[in-house]
Amino acid sequence: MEIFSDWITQIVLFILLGTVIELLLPDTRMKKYVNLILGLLLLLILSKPILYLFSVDTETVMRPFEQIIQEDSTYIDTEKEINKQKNEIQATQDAYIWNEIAAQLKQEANDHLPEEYGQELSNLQLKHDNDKEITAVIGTLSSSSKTKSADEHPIDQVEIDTTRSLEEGQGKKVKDKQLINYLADLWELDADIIHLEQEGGAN
Amino acid sequence: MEEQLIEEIPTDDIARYWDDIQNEYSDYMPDSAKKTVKDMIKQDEGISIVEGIKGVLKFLVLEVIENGKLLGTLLLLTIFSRLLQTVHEAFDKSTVSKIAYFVVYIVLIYIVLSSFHQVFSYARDTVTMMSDFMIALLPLMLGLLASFGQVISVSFFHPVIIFMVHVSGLLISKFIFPLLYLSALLLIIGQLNEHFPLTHLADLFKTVSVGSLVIFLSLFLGIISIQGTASAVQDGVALKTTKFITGNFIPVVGRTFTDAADTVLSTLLLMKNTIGLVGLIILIFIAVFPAIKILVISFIYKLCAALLQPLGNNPVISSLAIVSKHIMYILACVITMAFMFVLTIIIMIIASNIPLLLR
Repeated sequence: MEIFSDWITQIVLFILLGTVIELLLPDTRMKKYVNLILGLLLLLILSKPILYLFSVDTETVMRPFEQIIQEDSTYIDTEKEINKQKNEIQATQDAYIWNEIAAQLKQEANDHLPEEYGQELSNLQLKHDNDKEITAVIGTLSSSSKTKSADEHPIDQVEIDTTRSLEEGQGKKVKDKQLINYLADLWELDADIIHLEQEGGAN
Repeated sequence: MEEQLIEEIPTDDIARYWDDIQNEYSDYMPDSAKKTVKDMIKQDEGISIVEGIKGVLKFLVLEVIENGKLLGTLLLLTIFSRLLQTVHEAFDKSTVSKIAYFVVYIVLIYIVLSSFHQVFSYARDTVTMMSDFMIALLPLMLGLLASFGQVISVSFFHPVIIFMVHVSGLLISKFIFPLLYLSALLLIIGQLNEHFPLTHLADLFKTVSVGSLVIFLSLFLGIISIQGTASAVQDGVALKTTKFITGNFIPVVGRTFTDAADTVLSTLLLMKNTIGLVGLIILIFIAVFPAIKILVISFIYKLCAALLQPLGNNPVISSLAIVSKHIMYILACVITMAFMFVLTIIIMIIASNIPLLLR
């Protein structure tokens, strides 16, 4: 509205000035032409908004919009970047947590296992799904070196599962239900998900 | 129960406007209107229409007398300018007379534009006051509506009316009034010099402003009446269902409960209708006095033009007629706005009665 009323003010001022000029001019033949020129000038002022429409540079008008769009896309990019970094951080933290848990479980088991079974866990791996549920516990048993129980206890009976042992490499599956149930009780986990294997040449 | 309810309802926002009107126009208000908003809601005598019309007429006459000075100035100035012109023409046909005429014309334009500006600010104040009042009245009306379970109506009316009221205030005071003002200015200036007439540009402005007002009016009324009724019917169905369920599925107390609820509902309905009517009265009083003022000023210009025309058809007289016409347009805008708000209140009252008719 401001620009608009400025435009009208211009017109009004021009007409007032034009009238004064007309009054000042002597009544000669030239007066007609002066009037014509003044009329043409008024036409120019009147058509200012229309001329403005034609002279609009689309590039300059569009630039702010383009900027907005670009800002938007850079914003999206940074968001992606942030998400990626967040995921990385979360992944390392998760890995750390799982390692800690594995170490604690192993510690817990090794507090009792050597005394009761003459064996200890030398390695413990946890597998989990996306919901942070433990899906499998894979442990490697080795005969305990700390205790003398190896002399007193008979060597664990080891069953060899030929269908599975291929993928487990040289390690043998331990099927000792008692040991597994014991560990399951200790860790408060399902016995099904605990897989133990005997360390190769130890026995 | 009604007494208690009235005491509970916060009418301060509305009362402020009512007090303003009473302070300013107390001499012209009917005696029956001289009471607080709470009293108006409580008592059912109403405001005597005859007294109201008397007051308005009194105000009209006083305004005419007050504006007599303006009339005199305009008359004398025009007559003197005419006289000056004649005297000059009698002696010689030089351009001196033209210049003298020009000067007189500029003075006239100054007077005309200042009174036009006065009208303009009156009208703008009135429009702002009306829309502010509507905003103040809304919480009360919609609160009462919500209290008898017309959630859909409230959720429709609330945003739409607030939006429309604000938009209409802005549109009229920031777009339509300035355009009319500029149109009048262009026409008057165009009269100054027969070589540069600007009648068509002025016409364009006038058409745009009046056209946009008409379009807005029809949009406003269309949306509010159709949507308002539709949502009211939905509310009515919901209310009926609720009452049916409580009446039939809650044993023993259900029936009593619905009967009690019915009593409360009809009391609230009465309350809401009364408050709506009081709002209507206040709104009319807000609009009527400035409208009369504007009308009188327009009338003075018209009268001037009519009286002076026998002196010869010169630009001064036609510009007086132009100003009178444009002031009339402004008056039309104010009245349209008042009409719009009055209809809004009426539609709110009626639309909220529909659900209770449906039960």
